[in-house]
Amino acid sequence: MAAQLPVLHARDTAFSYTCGACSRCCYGKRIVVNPYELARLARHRDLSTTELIARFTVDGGTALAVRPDGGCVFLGGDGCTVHADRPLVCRLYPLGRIVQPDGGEIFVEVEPHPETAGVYGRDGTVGAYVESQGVAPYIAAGDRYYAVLVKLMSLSASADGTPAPAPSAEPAGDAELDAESARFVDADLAVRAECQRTGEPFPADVESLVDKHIAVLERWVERTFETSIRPAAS
Amino acid sequence: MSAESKQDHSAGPPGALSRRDSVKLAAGILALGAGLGVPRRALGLAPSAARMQMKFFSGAEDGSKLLDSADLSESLTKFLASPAGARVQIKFFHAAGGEVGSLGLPALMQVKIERLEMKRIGG
Repeated sequence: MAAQLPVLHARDTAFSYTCGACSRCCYGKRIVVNPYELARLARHRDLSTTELIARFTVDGGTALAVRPDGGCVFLGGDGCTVHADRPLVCRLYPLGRIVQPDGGEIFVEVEPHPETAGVYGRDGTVGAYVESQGVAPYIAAGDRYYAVLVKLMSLSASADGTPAPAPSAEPAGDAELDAESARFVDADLAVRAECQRTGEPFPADVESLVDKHIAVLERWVERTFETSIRPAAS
Repeated sequence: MSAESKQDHSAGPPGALSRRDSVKLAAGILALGAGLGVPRRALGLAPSAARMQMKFFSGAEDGSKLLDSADLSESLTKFLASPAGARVQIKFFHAAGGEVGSLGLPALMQVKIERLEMKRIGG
């Protein structure tokens, strides 16, 4: 079998891309979004993350909705209507970024639309291209949420050595999982509840909101670890 | 921490999470993993593929009989299922060796696998 491998790039690989603003890449894609990206999009639209998730996302707020014609829900007549706060995958296009288990990263080229107006070249580097798209805060936030995910997974493994939910438990229904997943995705929801509980002021900007959200999630992980796992080990 | 509080938080045997915490944990892993684009199999919520089997059936009007099957090696299966993705293409050749046509089937397979995994996790 002659497999066609995706092209693998490092940051110093020669690469350049000039967007032709044809918007063809805004169709037929699944745009996954993490809580930081949801918060950026929500503030761009002057909405709470709760409202944004309800109106513009699918799958519990983990991917952007698409229009009936396959176009992105945020695609307007003149292109992206949230361009300044567009998600990481849109910034990386026509590249994709894969984080390897050791934390290293590789970039792959996404198959372009056959009629794309984008112009490919080699008069730059992958690193220069992605940095020019303002990816740094997105990658930093993604890495921080990924660290929370790793803690959750290690907690699951520590609990009984099998994937969650615990096999002894009654299987969780979709509705129950959806309700519980909201706090992990919806930063405004989780942080507002925390601020009401502690009396702290609600964060004024996205960066502070995400700091607080991650702190709330980490505290929950710690509390669960302390009360449920550690006693068995001691 | 007192022994009493340990009992409060662990309904199951020692080392097991309460059902509520298990659900929250699974929900968190699913939600964050999906939003970060982590493949479901990497989350430990679905088994990783070790063997890929291709089966060939006759048409429905013939009773959809199994004609033959072929297993791919573990290394090739893992490569095809890797996060970087891969493409499967079936090609047809005529007797002289020239290509008659080809058939690609990546997206449909992925959607089917995704649905199977969702069903499994949802219990």
